[in-house]
Amino acid sequence: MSELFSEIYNCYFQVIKSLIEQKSTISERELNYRIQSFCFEESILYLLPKLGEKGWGFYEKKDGVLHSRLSKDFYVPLTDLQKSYLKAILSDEKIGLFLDEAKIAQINASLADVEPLFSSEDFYYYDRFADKDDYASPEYKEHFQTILYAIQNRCYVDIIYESRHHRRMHHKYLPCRLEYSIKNDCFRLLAVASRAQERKRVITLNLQRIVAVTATDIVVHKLPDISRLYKRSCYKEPVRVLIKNRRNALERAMLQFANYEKSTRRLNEDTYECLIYYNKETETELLIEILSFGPMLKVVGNETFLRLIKERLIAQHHRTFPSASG
Amino acid sequence: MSEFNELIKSFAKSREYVRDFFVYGFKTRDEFAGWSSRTYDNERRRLESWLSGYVRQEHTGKGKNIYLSIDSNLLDTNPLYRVWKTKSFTDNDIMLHFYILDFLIQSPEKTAEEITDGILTRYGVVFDSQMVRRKCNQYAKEGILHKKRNGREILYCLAPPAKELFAAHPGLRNAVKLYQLSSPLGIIGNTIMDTASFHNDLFRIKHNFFVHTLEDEILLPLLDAIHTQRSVALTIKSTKSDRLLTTEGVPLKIFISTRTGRRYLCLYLPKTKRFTNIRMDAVKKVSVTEPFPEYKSIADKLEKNKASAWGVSFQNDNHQHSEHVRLTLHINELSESHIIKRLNREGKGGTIKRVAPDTFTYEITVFDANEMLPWIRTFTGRILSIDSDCPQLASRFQRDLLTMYHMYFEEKTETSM
Repeated sequence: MSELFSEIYNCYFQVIKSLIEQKSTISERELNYRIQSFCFEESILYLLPKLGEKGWGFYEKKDGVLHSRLSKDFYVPLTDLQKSYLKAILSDEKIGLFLDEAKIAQINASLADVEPLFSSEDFYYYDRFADKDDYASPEYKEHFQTILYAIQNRCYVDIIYESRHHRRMHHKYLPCRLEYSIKNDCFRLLAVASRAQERKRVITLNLQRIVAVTATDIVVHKLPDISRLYKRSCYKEPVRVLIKNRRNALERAMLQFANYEKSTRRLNEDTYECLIYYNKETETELLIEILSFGPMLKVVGNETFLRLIKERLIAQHHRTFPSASG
Repeated sequence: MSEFNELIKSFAKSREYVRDFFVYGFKTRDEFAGWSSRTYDNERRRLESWLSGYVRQEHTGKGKNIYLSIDSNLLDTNPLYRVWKTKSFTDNDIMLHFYILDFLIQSPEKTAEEITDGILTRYGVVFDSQMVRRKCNQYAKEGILHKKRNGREILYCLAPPAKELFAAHPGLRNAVKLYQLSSPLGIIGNTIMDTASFHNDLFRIKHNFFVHTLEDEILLPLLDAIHTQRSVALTIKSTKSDRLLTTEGVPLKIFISTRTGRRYLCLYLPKTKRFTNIRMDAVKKVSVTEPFPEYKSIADKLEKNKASAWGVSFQNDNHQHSEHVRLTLHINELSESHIIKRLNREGKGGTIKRVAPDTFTYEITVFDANEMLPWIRTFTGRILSIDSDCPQLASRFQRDLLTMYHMYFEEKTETSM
């Protein structure tokens, strides 16, 4: 099997390929911009002088414009490693959301000369939730496809949704992204509510609870930046946690909270302070994650979060030591 | 003094640096033990270059503190994949890459000599034909070129473009957008997006641990050993002492936690006839060795056993085959049905019973009950009792609860714990 850490996948190789296949002539200014947006921060210093006649000779300069010396049809075929990866994902149960069985068989036939890189049998997610989405359901597949279409065509969808409390709701949403949770093994739709709302906010809908979805002909020019909307939804004050580095707690906490935007600093020999940013939606999940660490972590702020922790501790103390609690 | 280069020859060293910056994200130069100041400065500069946009810095009393701030929920891809795209190369490597492929697009099925001549004629660059042949053979091994025998000659031609495959199957293109974020070895999916020139405009990921990609070079030979049913010799760095140890065993599966971010290699040790789990980030080197004749029966045994492992432990400290746990919880039946749902979906098939109004028990038998403690703590506030034949479980819970109670309600200073 070929190497993963190979120059074939190097960022410089990729940016040159993408430049060549898109345009046969390019200005230096645009070249600069493209390298800077695709490559690493310092790549431009090394890459730019090399592209012309005095370097690798991929471009020649005429009348202040760079002309590619390579064909506009230039392409790089897939490596066997990449083909093995494609073959591996074709056996995943979620692939049916994208391709029907006939298409899967066709692609498999075109990849007949490689073995799948992995199978689902090679991995065991030992603490994954049991109530995963039903990917095999024809209705689920249809909803999934409609939403993909709506995101790619930037159009509103009409959704009938059943809430956790079995209440049916009917709304128009602009789908922005589908979010897949590895822990829950389910998809959620990240959307913004109908145009009538002045202040946009991200609405999260579980795909499994969508009863019906139809694409509408209301199209927007550009999808909203949901990362910005998400950040705006975070509380101004992060959770402030102290971590005592005993029983490897620091390393465990840093890894477990790697999913959150956070910053950490050392306070003294074995105590660290970690600021974790979160919003209303992730509050309970973060709360129970912090509780799972026991006394290795201490929440010292914000006040609201601290109060939640204290309420649970008081209740538990009362149940475990009723006489001591009075 | 050698010139700074943002590209690197070997991944192993940078793997450690990136991991430390990403996972810990708070170490100043003085705290990176065992590295010279220059090494630290160079590695930091590389990291800042590779991951610009994600590197934050703040000044503390002890110096500049840089860290990676990445919220995986908000990104279209894993920024740490960039680290895999930093392999250094020679001028000849990159020139041959573009000239050979470009020449073969226009003039398919040529010998190494014809390609060498063609590069000279078309691009005005002279190469040794042996060098061209070596590169063509390397690319044939990678699958980029196909080799054909024509009498005594070897002809090289280009494999078909990825774009054809994705144009014929747009669903596959969308699938890659998801899997590059969600599947093991997602970096390869990401390189496919580079090769076929598309990006992810559809998906976000939740509960993914981006740092796992740093172990992908270790994962590849392990998967190879699993598929060919072979043993492996591993070099492991002890997480406690930093010492390098070697061990041999039969790799069976990769155990992944979706909550803690840990990944383990499940290994069968023929000497002790036991299963063990080794943290993937501790494995530094893998050598695939002999076929293991009883692979299938051991793999079947693991399938049966893994259902009784709460996490990654197959034995306990109490010399018992397994340990029984019964939690009794206070759950308001009217307003807290979500807690019952939690027990069902997170409880790994344990039995849930209503024993009195607003009172439920959850029971399970596992190899090592101590592994359940972090999960049990998530029910803090509603635990009425913990009964187990693992005597340490309830006592540890109570001791920790007292410590926490003391920590939150009796300490005076904020930073004391």
